[in-house]
Amino acid sequence: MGYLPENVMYNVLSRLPVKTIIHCKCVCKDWQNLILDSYFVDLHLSRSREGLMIHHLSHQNALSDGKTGFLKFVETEDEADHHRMLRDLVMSIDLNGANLFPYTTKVLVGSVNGLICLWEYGGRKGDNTYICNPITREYMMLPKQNFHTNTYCEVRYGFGVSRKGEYKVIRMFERSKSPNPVEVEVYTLGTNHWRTLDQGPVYVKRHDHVMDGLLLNGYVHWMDSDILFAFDLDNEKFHLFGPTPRRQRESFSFLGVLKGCVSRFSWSYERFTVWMMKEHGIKKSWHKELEIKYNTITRVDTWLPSCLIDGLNNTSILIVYDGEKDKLVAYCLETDRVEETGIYDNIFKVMTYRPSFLKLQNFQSEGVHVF
Amino acid sequence: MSTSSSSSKKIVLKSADNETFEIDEIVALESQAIKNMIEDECADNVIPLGNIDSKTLSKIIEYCKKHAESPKKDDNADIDEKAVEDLKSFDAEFAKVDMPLIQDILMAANFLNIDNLIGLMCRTIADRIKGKTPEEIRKILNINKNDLLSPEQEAKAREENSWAFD
Repeated sequence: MGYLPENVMYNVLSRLPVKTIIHCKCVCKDWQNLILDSYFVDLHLSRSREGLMIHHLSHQNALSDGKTGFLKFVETEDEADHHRMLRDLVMSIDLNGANLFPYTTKVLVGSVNGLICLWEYGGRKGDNTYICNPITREYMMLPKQNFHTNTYCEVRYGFGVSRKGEYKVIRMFERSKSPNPVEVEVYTLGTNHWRTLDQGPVYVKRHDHVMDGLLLNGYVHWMDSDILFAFDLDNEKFHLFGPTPRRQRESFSFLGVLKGCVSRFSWSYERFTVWMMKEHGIKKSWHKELEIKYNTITRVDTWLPSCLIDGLNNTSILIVYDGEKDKLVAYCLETDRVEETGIYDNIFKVMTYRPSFLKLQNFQSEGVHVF
Repeated sequence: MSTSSSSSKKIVLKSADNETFEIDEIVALESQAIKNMIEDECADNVIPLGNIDSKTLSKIIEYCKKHAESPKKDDNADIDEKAVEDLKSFDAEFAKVDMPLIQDILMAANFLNIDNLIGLMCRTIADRIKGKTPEEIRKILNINKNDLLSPEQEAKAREENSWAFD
């Protein structure tokens, strides 16, 4: 080969799965240079398909034992002929591994363009925020937030990229005795400090469970009870999007992005429902996209739904922890097909993840480690 | 479209080995480069393609003919699915050729600026090296031996990304 022009080689390489791209870095000098180029990084990201990042605990009491578990990346299938929804496991990172993220318990709280955000809590030095690219194996610990605690606390994270292209972490920290019940801080990657916003969202109630923000179009979204609100990463203002629809008795739900729209997945003891906000921020555009009554395949008693992701041919895939099989399974909402993954045991958290070769060192030169 | 082709304007392409191919202008217009030449009125009756041999050129013409005859997406929002499926299976069959020819077609498509064909050939190469080791990729694509990494450089690259080589 060798004679294919650069633009063509970029075109070929950017279509490959991440592992093959890394193999291609060893194929020849030309390719190594192409893959390291920022033009390639951007092109690859624009083509990169969304897969799943799974924070997987090794055993039931792992968190209280100070065991952090594993991060596992699974790609979604991109070839219709293969009749599969997910591919085999691409990587597994042992978060307890030597010297990797020292100290204590961590949880996955956000993911954007190949970068993930981890929150570490507990212990003497606890309550820290990390950014990591599992593909390039870089990570960095952000400076201490202005509001922090060394005991467990209620925080909500959001991690995203603004429409202008700035990567930001937003953190809502709950204070028990204060005129401001929620303090909001923002960290822009590369600035090296947290900024406290003057005013948090007044409508955020003291929440009973922590939910991570959902990124779409430069906004991070959260749901508080049934109320949807969002943070504009460009102008750093909160927007109240109002109540989300739900049926009676649908007491469980979470947010996801399907077909480019903010969607609410909810379930009761009778059925699954997917609600979709067709036009971003427009309350009237909510509609019921799908409804599935339980049948012999779906198992309401043992299924714990955890994540929604687009599948091939306009399908939607629900990722579920099946308590009976003790396994993570993928369920296609349109075709009723179930596919088992090879991932067993208690699943802690599942998030959509679009792999990239973005370098943390491009944001800041100091404090970036490689593992 | 087939009724109009008999009366439409013809373009002649000449390959590197001096073979000539007479085709309908509409087929030639699949190539953005030829389209520009025609629009700028710098195309004579015969367009010489000194870097494309006849074997490659006939494949390119086969592709452009099929795609020119197929209904375009922007013509009609609801073109029947059968036409889309038909074009898909044509593309799949078209790509079933050996790697040297794929590379020749890709070079020619790049020169003639035929966007869909560039995409098809790039996808085909990507599919063939997907999941392969560096050694297998070098063999499949017959990589120039002068451009290889030194053993030390390769060991370093593998070490830095050891997770991907397990």
